[in-house]
Amino acid sequence: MNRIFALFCGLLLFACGDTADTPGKSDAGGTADKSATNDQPDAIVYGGSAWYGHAPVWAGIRRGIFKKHGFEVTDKSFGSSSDRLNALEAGNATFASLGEVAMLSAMAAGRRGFYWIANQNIAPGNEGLVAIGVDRIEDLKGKKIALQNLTSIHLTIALLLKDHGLSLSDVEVLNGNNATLVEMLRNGDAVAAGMWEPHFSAMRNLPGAKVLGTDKDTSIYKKFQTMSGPDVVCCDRKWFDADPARAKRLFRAYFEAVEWCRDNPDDLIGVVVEKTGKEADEVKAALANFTWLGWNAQKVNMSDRRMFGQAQVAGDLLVEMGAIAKVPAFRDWTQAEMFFE
Amino acid sequence: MSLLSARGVTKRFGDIVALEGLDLEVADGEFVVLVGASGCGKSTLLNLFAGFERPSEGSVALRGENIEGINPRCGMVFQNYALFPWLTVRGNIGFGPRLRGVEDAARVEALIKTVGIEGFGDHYPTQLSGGMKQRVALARTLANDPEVLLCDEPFAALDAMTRTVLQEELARIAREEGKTVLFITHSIDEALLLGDRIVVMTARPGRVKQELANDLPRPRTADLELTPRYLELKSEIWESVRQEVIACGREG
Amino acid sequence: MNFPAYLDRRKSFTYGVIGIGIVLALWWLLTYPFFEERVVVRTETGTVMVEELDEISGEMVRIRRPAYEEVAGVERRAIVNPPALDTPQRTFRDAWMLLTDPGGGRPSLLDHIFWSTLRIVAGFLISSLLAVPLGIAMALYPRLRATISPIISFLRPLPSIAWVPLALIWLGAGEAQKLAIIFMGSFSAALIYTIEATLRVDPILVRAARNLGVSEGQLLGKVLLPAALPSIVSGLKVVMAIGWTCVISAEIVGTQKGLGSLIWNSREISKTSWVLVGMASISAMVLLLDTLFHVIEKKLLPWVFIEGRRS
Repeated sequence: MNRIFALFCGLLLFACGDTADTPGKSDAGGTADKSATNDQPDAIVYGGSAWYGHAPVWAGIRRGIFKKHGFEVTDKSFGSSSDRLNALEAGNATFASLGEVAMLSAMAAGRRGFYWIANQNIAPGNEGLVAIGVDRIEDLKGKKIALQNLTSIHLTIALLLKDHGLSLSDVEVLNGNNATLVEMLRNGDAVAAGMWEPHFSAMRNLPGAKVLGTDKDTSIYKKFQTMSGPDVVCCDRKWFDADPARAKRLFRAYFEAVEWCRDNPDDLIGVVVEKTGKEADEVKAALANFTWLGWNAQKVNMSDRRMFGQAQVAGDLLVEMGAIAKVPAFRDWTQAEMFFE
Repeated sequence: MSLLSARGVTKRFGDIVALEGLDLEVADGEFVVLVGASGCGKSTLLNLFAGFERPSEGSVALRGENIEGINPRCGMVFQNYALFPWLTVRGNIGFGPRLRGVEDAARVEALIKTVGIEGFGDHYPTQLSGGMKQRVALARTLANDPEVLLCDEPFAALDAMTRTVLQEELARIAREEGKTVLFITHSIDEALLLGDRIVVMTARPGRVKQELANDLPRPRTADLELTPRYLELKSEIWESVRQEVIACGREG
Repeated sequence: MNFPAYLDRRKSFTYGVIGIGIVLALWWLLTYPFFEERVVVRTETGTVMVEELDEISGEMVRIRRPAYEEVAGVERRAIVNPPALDTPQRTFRDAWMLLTDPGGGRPSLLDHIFWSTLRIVAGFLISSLLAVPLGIAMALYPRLRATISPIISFLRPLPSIAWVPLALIWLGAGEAQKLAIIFMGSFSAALIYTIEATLRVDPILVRAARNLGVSEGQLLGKVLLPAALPSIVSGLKVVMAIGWTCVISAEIVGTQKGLGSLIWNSREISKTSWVLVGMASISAMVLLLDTLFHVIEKKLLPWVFIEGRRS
């Protein structure tokens, strides 16, 4: 019995030890006057993945931008957007880029543990609907479409269908993720499939494949010049409130990295190739679609004219799809005035 | 012609010689009891008669014909009953006839009566005591109407009182049905109670050491054990066996 | 202390109910917002119109500059908060909603349960119908056993989710793929249980049967099968439960209906309560099927359940 108890204590200590290096939390009660002149850089965890939208953080780390502002950023990979959001709330990550759909759903579920800081890129045309054997969206009625449930592509397809007189209930939706969607299109389980890069390219390159539409063709893009479920940058609310000056410093650093991406497209390709191991040509083609939005651009971006308007429309769509009960008051999660200071 | 005969039987298992040059004859209707030290090959001999093993040298025969394989004419009664747990008492008893397609419910009932387990026909083996299980095992073997009953210490696992009862039952049944029995035991009392002829086997490698005719009067009951003739026979057999037990011990 | 000690049914049931009650009480306790946290609640009161440069269009545009009012407020917090755990009231309410009206044309809880059960049971049947005869054959023929064993050793430890990519390529995204995953997750276990059960038949029963005149051809049906059946059946009970552990891997792709699909999709929209409902449904179904199995077992193998004598 004693041995079991000792083993249990050991496991408990191990578990505690593991959580002890979530750096964000350790600063929760910290003093307000930590500044860049502090010798010890603040240890920050970023929640990301292999998607191009995380490129500013890769660049920021690589080029020492974060270090310059006094931050030691670790890039941690999380599978899905909701996982990244959970990490923010639990304090396992300080800031992260994730999909807007997951964020809106979390807001609707009453999760308050994070702030919506910004939307850092516009990258239309990077996701779309591809079909084999079907030429028009109207002809998709009653057919099977493969997509990843409750992500931006789901919204994009819903919007494309809407524009052509169909709704999601007029088609049969098959759930998949990443490469499985390409497979489902390839072997004919679905006549059409949608996904973002790099799987979008994989789909387009299948024999007989035709692109029926991308997020550039949706009503959201036409109105707000952005995608149906763009990348958003979120931050651990507790960490932010504990020291707003430090938070602003982090985001100044972050947007400096974003602006570097904007201003150095060729060097950016190199950074992405190094990080992802993809072919330079493929990366170049994908990044060509990206418009990076820096600090000043966020003033107009985080307003009704763009992101707030878009979020309302996307939210309405999610309500229609039964994913959320009603559109949350997402403005209460934002820190938009930060960009005006 | 004897019913069962073993001529010059030698049986080897790898390096071990279990039996060597063994000769034994069993006449029709005889009740022969084999006694001997543990491991001297009594069970092996029985297995040869049943056809579970073949002799390395020599021959075993039933009514003059060589025993070439497992033969239901030599019915075996096992020490741990070997009843089929998925069949009822009736199912077990009728197993042999059922295999040959000659199921006879009346015969099964008669056998149930013979071995004395009326009222338990629809019970499963797990519901029976050891003594009852052995009765069922006996009935099952008898159902096949074998010429010989080969009994490998069938009562060794039972308590003394049940054992005594079953000994008397077996003696009665063998007599009534006119069965030939080859019976193995460690108990000299049991041998004297049951056997017409008692065969003492040597330690390994097993051979027939001594044969005694048992002239105690029948029917034999427990009070016979106090008569002088009984004690005479018992001490003679015990002396014979004891030498072999010591020899066995020396061999290790 | 008495060993082994058992309680009668009534007492066992009562203690069991108390156990569940304790868990519910703990859950309520952990999620009840006992604590008050002073928070700053921000609400937008933006009315300031400003002109700013729109980097996308390159023009100066008028936008509403957000202004916030920060009001000191109080937020109730519990020991454990969402997303880690929702309150039991919320969870049960969401569960009820899922059962009666999930909204948006989504399948109801009963649909999910039906589809998962159908898939698991079908996969289980296919597994068993192949594994039992093969297992018996492998038990009887050592050469066959030795030939196939290394393949089984390779397949056995693989988790069902490892099969998802291959199943998708070979079988597409339809029901065949799902059944294949459940099959691959449960087949080797069923096979191994069958082989063990058959090998462990007491050889003396075989001897007795032979002595009673059973022919080699009858041996399998009349002796080996009934003797091994209790162990095979109890092994298959375990295999059914193993099948259920494959439910998420099986439904991760290509369906909107099923408990695995429910659990996996609900996490994307932060609906922890639906995840819990899915998990509870899986447990309930396993219990139900186990009970059903037990009923069939009792009918098929009466001698195993008769109370034996200690003698």
